[in-house]
Amino acid sequence: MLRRDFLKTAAAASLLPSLSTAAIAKDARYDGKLVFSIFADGGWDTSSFCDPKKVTSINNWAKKQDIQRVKNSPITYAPFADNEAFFQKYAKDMLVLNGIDCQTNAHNAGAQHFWSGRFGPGYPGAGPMAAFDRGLNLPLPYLSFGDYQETAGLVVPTIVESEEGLRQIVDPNNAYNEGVYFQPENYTALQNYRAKRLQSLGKLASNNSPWQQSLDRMQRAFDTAPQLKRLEASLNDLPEQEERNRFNIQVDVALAAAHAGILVSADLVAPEFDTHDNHDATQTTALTRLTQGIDHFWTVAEKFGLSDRIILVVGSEFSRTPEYNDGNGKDHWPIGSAIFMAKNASWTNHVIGGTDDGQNARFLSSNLTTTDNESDVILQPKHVQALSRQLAGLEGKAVTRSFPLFDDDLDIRQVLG
Amino acid sequence: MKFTLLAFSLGLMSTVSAKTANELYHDSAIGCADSQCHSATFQPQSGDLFKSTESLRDYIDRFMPDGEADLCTGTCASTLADWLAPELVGDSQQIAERYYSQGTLEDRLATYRRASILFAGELPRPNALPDVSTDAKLQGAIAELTKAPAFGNFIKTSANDQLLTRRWLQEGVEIIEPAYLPEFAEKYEALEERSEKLYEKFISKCGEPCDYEALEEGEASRSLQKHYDRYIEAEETFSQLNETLNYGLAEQPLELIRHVAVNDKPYSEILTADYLMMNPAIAEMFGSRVRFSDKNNPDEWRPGHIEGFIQELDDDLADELGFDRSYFPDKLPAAGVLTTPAFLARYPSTDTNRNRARARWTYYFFLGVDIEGIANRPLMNSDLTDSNNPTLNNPSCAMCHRIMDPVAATFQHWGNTWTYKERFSFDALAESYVENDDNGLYQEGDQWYRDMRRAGFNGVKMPVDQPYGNVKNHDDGVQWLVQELVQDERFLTGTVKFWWPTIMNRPLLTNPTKKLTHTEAELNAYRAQQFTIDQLAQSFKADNLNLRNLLIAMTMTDEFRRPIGANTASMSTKNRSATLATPEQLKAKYASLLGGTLSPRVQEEVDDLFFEANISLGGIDSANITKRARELSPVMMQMNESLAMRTSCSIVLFDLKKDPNQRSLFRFVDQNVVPFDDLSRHQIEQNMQYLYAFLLGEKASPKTTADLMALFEHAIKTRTELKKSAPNDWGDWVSYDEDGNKRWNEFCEIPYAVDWDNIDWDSERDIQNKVGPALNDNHTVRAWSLVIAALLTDPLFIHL
Repeated sequence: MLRRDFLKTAAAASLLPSLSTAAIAKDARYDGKLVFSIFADGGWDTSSFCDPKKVTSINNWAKKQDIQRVKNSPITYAPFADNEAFFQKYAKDMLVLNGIDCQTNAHNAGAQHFWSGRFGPGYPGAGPMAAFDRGLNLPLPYLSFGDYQETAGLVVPTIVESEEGLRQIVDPNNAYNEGVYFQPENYTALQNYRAKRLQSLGKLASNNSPWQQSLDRMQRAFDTAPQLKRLEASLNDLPEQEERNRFNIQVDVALAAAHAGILVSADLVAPEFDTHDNHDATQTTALTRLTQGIDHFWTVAEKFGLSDRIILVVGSEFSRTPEYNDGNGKDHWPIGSAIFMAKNASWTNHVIGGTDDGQNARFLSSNLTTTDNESDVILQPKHVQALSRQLAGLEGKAVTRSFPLFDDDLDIRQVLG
Repeated sequence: MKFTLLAFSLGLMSTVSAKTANELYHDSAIGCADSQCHSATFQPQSGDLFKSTESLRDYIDRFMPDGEADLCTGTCASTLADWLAPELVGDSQQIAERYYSQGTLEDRLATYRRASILFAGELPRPNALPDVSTDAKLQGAIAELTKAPAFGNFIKTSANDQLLTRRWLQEGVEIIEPAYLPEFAEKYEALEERSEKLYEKFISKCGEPCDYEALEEGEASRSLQKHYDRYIEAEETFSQLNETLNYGLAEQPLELIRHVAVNDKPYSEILTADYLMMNPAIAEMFGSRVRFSDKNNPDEWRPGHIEGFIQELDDDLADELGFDRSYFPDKLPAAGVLTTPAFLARYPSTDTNRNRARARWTYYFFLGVDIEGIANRPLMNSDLTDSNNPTLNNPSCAMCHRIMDPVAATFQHWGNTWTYKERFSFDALAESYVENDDNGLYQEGDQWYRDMRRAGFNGVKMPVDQPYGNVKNHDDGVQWLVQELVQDERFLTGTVKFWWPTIMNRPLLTNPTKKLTHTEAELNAYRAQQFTIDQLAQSFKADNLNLRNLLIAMTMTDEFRRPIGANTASMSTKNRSATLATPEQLKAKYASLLGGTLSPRVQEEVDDLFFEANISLGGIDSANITKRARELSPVMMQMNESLAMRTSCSIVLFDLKKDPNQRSLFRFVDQNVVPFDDLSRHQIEQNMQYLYAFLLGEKASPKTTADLMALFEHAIKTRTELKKSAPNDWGDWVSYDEDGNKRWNEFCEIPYAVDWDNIDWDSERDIQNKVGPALNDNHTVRAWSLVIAALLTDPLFIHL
């Protein structure tokens, strides 16, 4: 909305510099590990991406083209969408997990299973746990853009639509070209009143009541709000782009918040992978948006000097069938993939697991070698989450003990060396 | 836990002994690995305990297994009920009473106040509160609130929270696939074509890259500017048409629900209505012969039908086949919300999905049954990769599909977006299915896929004129379906569940037994809630499905009036509702401060302000963000503060500009009352207490009043000091200097028009009259603004 011109004719205003507000956590600045995920929402086609199948009944591209391989890398990819640019540039920064059995063909169940490691409600992903572990003194510890949002009450997710939404709140007393709404003396008096007010209401509330919990959240918001001002400079530093799709806006908002030192984790969503008809065209659009979006992610992260602190997990609730349906679409298939990305890590440029030519999951031995031995283990989302937790720095943290993964059938963490 | 596992296994057998049931339970449990066992189960959709073994038997007999209730009836149901009784039979009422006794019932006035914000969209004034000294009086007072026009808006916004058809109100969203009256199609296409042609003409003159800045600034050549202006005008006309149509389409299903609710029709009519609601724009689009009193009013709604639509079978082909136009219906069949274009398009289908999404959401919205919840368990890879028509043949897949697919089949005439019988007006089957000679399934006259289950609901087959053919005795399969749905007992509980989140401002509790671990307190909270839902459902049934009365009854429940946390052991009277106000409720509160009916200009300002703040305040956009944020994040808190900062001064001025007897906020003072004597201080304190009661719904304590008074006096003192340092000729408002260094003052938007050009600057009286309270040498306006800002960001204000 544009602010209407209620009064152009006259107004009292002043152009004071920004207010300096005293607050408890004003200077807290997070500079630890950053945990990001990207959910390819709807079910991506791994056979046209990171687990390519040169089988003509599975992929039309297989009629004319071969599977592509990155030089000096075990990573292969399908000659589809904008994969080449993506894999050639980032193979060195990725660990690919293929042959993950998501054990469902239902969207919600798949999303819940993949991102929490468990069927059934109540399990958060690594992002909310990391935010709880080290972000409670921040105003925006966990940013969520929808879909799987379970936090188990650990942390309040922040939901924003755009950077404009954030700009509005970084400095509420700033009327910009018109000065300030209240001069510092009055604004500080207002904040002091509020602090006392929260205290007195808190004293009257029963322990552990919903009302007290709500007051606590207000107090935390109040204490951490001054940090939000740092966000403005980060938003202003974002690279200029002529047109941005919604996914790139998510990337920008999340990384600006990370750059401002007010964020620990963010769960991003890349949409429109549910290609039941006209698969090749629509999956191409979705995958291109995703891979170009990831490129944008790392470009901005690099600009902000955040790259070395980031762990990024890319995944989907399942994959798509190893055949086209009558409408040239592909339906749901439980065997999928995940990609872990990080810069300058020892465990990247690597592939674990795989599928056969029918896109069925192959087994993994205890040393993570792909086998056909049925007594070995098939990768499941619990292993993906075990690795996510480890990379997010959550191993051994108390918060994870409340959400056991029962993943001791396979030590996926050994891939990290 | 036993019950749920058995329920899906029941499809495999016609009779069940206790021993078989026991074995089945253990067989299923072994199939899931340790941690997953809980999730490998699903609960009966009614999570409540059953009062007796007989009622459990009756439930199994009538509803289980979901979707094919006829598989276990009579002896089978009795046997199972006996076996399950120890786990599922108990006294819910006792559990609920014990649970609710932990909390303290909130004051009736507090309940009334919250109901007023919900239903009437306004804060009640402290000096105009009704007598709510008994529960009956409270209920009556709340009933009065539902007579306000805002009740209809509440109904629509709440319904959209579930149905999400307002997705089409988003900027830039495409129009629902246009299939409408041929005459209208010509008009629509002509406008689109005109816009495109004018663009091509303009761009050919301007060249690439075109200097748009010069055009916007009016610095381009006259000829080019003319081309540009014509193109822009055509583009805006076409965009405006799309926006108008999208508004009508998005609101259409919501408007039907409002129509049913405010006219006290049986709620079942939201599904069984054989009409659709039309406003002038979509009536024209659909060739609906409805008369309107104002053709330009998008909010005038009347029942009508889609009477003109594009026949896919054109006249030439019809002649060739020997059909005439009378073969096709004059108007499309309607079945309430389910056949509105917006509902069908919001839950679209594909050639392989075959209306399953629509079936899933129909169950969810109207019966409270979450089919995807049933799927929330690991399946064997061999089941998931089965290619032998698994939804029909594989028992693991069939568990959900036998519930979903027959209902999907009843939507057989509706195409992937929403169009009716889009295959040459014969049917809505996929071409790829009809023309697939390999399987040879299609037979002439078929309306549905022969490799799927036949149309039906809950074990009852839809009557058809031939296998997989047209429905008998109805114009459309959905019309048959809705008659079944509204007779189903779960329609009652489903309705309560549908409205629960917006009345309670929080989602329903999920069954805690589905979590890895749960506490007894959590289970009791859940069971108490299920008991309340059942009680409400029964009163809803007895009340001839009157939605208005159901919603009123919901505000009278312990769930609404007694704040209890699942882990709370004890309560005190100081506990309040901890539910955050939604953006719509906050907007209603703000509008209340302005008071009465707002001028279009001010209303637009308020609308714009809250539209912009919507997501940051926890709202939804019905497209990308579809779940309301119920917990306060720092961003929400900051947005609340931002709103308060931006509006508090305007709110004060807006009220002070009114005649004293019309004011909402300043009943004991005006801008001339300064706290420099006892009487004035008393008046100011009195007004503060009034504001506190109005905005926050409670009586201000002496300490709070003193704190607010200190804030007020601080502002006056600060401003007095600041002004001292300003040049004398700055004054208050007239000191405004466009060029620069304004220093001492604080920004305030004047919310009323001032005729600055015609002020007689030599006349103090004229200046005062024309500038109004904005001319405020004693600084009380800004002092009150600070007080208002404090109240607008108070915890009691931002919670419901």
